[in-house]
Amino acid sequence: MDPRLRERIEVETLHEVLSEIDCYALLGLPADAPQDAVEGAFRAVSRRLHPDRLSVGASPEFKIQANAVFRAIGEAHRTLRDPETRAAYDAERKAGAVRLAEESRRAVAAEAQVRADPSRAAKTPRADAFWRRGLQAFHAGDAASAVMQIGFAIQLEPDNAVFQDYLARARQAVAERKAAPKA
Amino acid sequence: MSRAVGIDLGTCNSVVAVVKNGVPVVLADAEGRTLQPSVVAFGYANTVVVGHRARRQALHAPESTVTSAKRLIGRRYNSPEVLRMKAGVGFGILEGDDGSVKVRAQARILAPQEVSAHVLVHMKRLAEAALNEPVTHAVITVPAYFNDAQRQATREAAQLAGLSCLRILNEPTAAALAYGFRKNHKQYVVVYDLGGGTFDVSVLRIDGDFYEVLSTAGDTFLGGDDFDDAVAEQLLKQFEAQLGTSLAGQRAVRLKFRDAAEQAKIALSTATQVEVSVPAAWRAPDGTEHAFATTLDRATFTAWVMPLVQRTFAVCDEALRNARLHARQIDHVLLVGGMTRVPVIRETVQQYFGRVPAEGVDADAVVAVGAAIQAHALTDAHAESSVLLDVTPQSLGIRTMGGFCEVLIPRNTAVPTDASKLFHTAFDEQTEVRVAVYQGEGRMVEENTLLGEFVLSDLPALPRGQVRVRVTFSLDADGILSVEARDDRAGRAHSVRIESCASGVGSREEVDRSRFEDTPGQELM
Repeated sequence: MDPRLRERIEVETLHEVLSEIDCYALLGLPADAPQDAVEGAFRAVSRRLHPDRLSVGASPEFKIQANAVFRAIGEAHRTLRDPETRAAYDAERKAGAVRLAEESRRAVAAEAQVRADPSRAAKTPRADAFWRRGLQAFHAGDAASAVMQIGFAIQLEPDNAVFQDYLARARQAVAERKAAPKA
Repeated sequence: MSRAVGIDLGTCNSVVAVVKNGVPVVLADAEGRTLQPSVVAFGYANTVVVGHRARRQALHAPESTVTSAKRLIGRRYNSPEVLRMKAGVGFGILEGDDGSVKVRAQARILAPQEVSAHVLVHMKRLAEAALNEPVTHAVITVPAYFNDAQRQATREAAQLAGLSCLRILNEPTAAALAYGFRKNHKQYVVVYDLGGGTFDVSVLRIDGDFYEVLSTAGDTFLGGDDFDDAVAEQLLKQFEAQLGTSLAGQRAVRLKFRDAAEQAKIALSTATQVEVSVPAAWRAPDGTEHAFATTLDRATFTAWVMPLVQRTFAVCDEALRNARLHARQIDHVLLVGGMTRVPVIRETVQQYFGRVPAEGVDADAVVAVGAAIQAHALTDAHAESSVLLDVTPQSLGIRTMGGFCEVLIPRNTAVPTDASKLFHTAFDEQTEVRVAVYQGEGRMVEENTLLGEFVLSDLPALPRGQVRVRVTFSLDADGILSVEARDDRAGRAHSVRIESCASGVGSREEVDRSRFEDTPGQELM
């Protein structure tokens, strides 16, 4: 008797309807589940349905199905464990999406990365050169030079919100310095 | 019934283990040795010797003995690591036609994975002799920080050795699996794995039978070999000062000093002071033999290797940061790899994590044992199997406009996983899109490793932007990448095969399988 027959049937059933099952359902969570419930739900479903546990002696077709199901479970986990990607997903889900679009996932990740490391904010190599110099000048306290360099970067990427933010801060620093009484 | 074993295919030594009647066992040769040197010696008339006998040959005939092939596997010839290694070994390292690495020993030219295949055959035979039954399947371990090309090349080595590779398993993960086997831990564990040629750190959360790698970081060119090099360098300097002459470029002298340095390092793990002697170290042009002898104490040794020790903690910092943990939150530290017997490593690890490393872990065998546990779980439906979630060590991305690297799968993403990206044509009537795949953390592609390139061809000739192709990257549980492209409008699948840049073995036909089967004169158990 196959000790994991029930789980195998579950995988096969899931695989048939995989493209219609949303991230919450894959992890067995309600849509309003608290953030700290995500890890436990993921662990519980992984324990049951991880392909390594179900694939011994299984057919190649089953292995492919089990892998596809587990990739989807992994994706659901990545989507829901981070509050920001979860928020992006919730918005798309309201509009009828089953999964978070790859492009949205990357956009959220890129934003987080730029927040952690503003030196990565430039999207083009030419702006990048000015931006790095501008940021360096800003951190070195040379606000006037920062205004100039970041200004060049903005000419190349006018919509870059990080550039605009730093330009405003650099300009303010210049203004404050002018206002301060000369020692 | 054949057996599935776990093989730790190390830079300097390899170990094979198996789960027998539910108990993991490390297998030994007829002389009772479990550690087998990953050394392959080539003799006349196509004879091949592997293991202890090959290691003995390495000293008299370095030009026909290949050591540390793992440091070359899956690399490009013109990578800094390969060029650095070239200067310090007795056998030849050459460039293949396609920019791959080849080694030359005794007039034979081989790809590094062919050398590794010889080691795997040796381990397979050792296991067959010890178990008295055929061994056909194996879980083979690699450093967690190995990239796609290095993993693929290791898989090729298994294939050449006639082993069906059940899984390419990360060494630190294997160690954690062996450590947690039937213990029902609930803790954060760091595996500090300093081997002969590579350094890995993995941070895991173990919850009973659930092993989740939170992050991994490493340096595939930092290991015991480098410690030996650093010490040899200093000893050579002393020798040169005594002689008053430069020995730069004298490879034979260098090799002797490396050997002496390794012995001194091992002795200093227990002694606080050792005599280092290199008899017949150098024959001067006038024919006089010069010997070298000195006393080396542990403090001096420690000072010499400290820069390397510090490099390992920079890697630990990175792994912890990516796991979003502090050193003090770690419940246990596992020391893996022969190098962790060196006292300065144990002391600094203890300082860094603020706790004594876990006891009762055999640093040499633990990886093979973990691999054996996984091999058992993957072949026996009734095995108590754990869930192992590993991650990809380096980000995978593609080249975009301006030479930036756009990440599709970030590092430390759990495998298996996939990610996709929509490509648009940039010109009118463009019928081809070229996609270059890179691995690494650099923002610009030049800072990363090129894994391969492919071309999406036969696209419909339409105005620019109207042709959309979705390219999907899939990473399997071995951490190996495959790519698929689908025409968004036509729903047509393009077959995409990413040619590994560093393969070097070329087409299957090029490789003569028989060479690995029963080479005359190959050492048998």
